[in-house]
This record gives sequence, C-alpha cells and structure tokens, in this order.
Amino acid sequence: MAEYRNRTTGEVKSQGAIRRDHPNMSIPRVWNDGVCDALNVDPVLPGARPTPGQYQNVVRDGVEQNDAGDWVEKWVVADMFSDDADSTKAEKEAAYQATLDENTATSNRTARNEKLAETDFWGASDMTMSAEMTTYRQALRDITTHSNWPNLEEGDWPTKP
Amino acid sequence: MTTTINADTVVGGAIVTGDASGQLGLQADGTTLVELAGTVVTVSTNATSTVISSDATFQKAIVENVYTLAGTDIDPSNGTIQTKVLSAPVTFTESISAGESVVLMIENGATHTITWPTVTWVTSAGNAAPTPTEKDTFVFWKISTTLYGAYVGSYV
Repeated sequence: MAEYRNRTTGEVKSQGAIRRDHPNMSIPRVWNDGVCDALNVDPVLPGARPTPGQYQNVVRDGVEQNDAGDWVEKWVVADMFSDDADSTKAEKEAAYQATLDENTATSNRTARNEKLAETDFWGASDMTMSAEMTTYRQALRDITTHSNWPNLEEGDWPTKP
Repeated sequence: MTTTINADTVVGGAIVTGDASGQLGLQADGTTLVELAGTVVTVSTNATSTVISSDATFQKAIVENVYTLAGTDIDPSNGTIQTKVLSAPVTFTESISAGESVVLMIENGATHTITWPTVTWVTSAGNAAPTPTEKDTFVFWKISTTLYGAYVGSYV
C-alpha cells in the first residue's frame, strides 16, 4: 500500500486516506511529481528491513530520509517480550520456545509416521524385511531421541534403503 | 399591398397582418407577441436571457455553442458544451444557475489534480469525486442551490 508524507505536517497517510481528505478533488490514479506537488506530499519508498535476532520482530517506526533525500519506511528490531508484573522476559521467551518446540515435534512425528507407513508392507507375512529396512524403520522410531530433537535438520533423518 | 416604413414609427396598438392564418403583432407593453395559426407564442426578455413562455418544439437539430474553457469558471452562458485541456492542477469555480446544465470534457486529467466547487457527485461509486483519466466527460447541473455532477466516463 503506497504511503505519502505531508510536507508540512510530516503526517504519513495512504493514498486512500489522502483521497478521503480531499472529497472535492479528482486525483489521478498514478501520482506523478505534479500530483504530489498539488497535494503537498512526498512518496514514501520501501525501506531496508534489519534482520531480527531470536525472540525479536521487525516493526515499522515511521519514516526517515535516506542519503538521496527520499523518504523511506523506517524499520527497527524490537524484542518480542518484556518484563511485566506476571512474568519475566526470560520466562516468556522460554514459554514461547516451548510452544515452538512442541509444534515442531508434532510436525516431525507426523512426518516420521508417514515414512513408517511407506514401508509397512515389508511387515506382511509373505514378505521378508531386509536388515537395512529393519535398521531404517528402527531409526525412524528412535528419531525422538536424536540429539537435535525436535529441531531436526534434513540430514538428521535416516536414509531409506 | 405592401407598406414600407422608413422611419421610427410609434404604433399605439398591435400591427396585424391581414392573413388570419398567420398573424404577427407587437404589443404595446413591449412584449413581442407572435401569433401563428391562432397559437400565441410570447417571447420576452429579462435581465439575462430571452424567455419563451410556452412549450417549444424543434423539428430540426439544436446547435449549442461549444466553448473552449480558457479560465476556470464553468459558466453555461459561454456555451453548454465546454472543453478544457489541463496543463497544470486546476481549481474550478461555477456560475451555473438553477435549471442550467453544462457538458464539460477534460483532457490530461490523468496527470493533474482537479479541484471542484462543492458538488454532489452522481457516480457509480456514489457521492465521491471521480478519479480522472486522460480524457473524461462530466455533466453538471443545478437544482435550487445544489450543484450536481455526473461522471459520464472516459473516452481514451
């Protein structure tokens, strides 16, 4: 959604909001320099977003001018949690991580079960399961004891024979 | 018989032709009276316009004046079809009386803002100033003191 900054007040608004502010004005669909001059606004260009750390978000913090003098979106990194009367920031982060781990574990168990189901037919009475397949299926069953569990990487999964 | 009048002549009553099926008279109070086949059409003037005080039927085309609007005032007295090519943002005013209407065709609206006088807009989007394109047509008319504007459409 395109944003524009009022040159006098510094207020940042969307095109729609500016149109609503000028009910008696027909404003072109494309806003060139002349239209911006008539409306006393400057366009706000996309700004670079910083990379957030663990338990951090990137949030919008108004606008700023870049080296070229253009107005751009200002993004900052903010902590997801803070201390309050009920719990500390560290406690909230631990609870958040536990939720993430539980979701990941559920997803990986589902994936594990699907991989086991793919080879269940080897257990039929008229089939002979190879030693490699037996090892593979046991490794799948033991995946929850992997040192990286539940945050497995692709290489942590056993290779299907 | 033909009578020629070569000087100002004051006539106390109507001048009546001798043909009963088509008469022309000038009334003494200054109002022009045209009587054709027994039907009276009164044509008079007020401060701003000519007034025809009966229904009028035109069996041929009506030619309206097409006016190139150089300024910014929309005035039907200049012509009821008006055109304007924008080269900069424009702020219009209006001199439209109740009962009058104007067709306004605008070019270059896609690159310039147009600020209108107070208008009750009649558009597909409701009462909102329309978004102009490269070539647009508007119609304005006034009822009592309310100026209405309709966005006819784009002709790009």
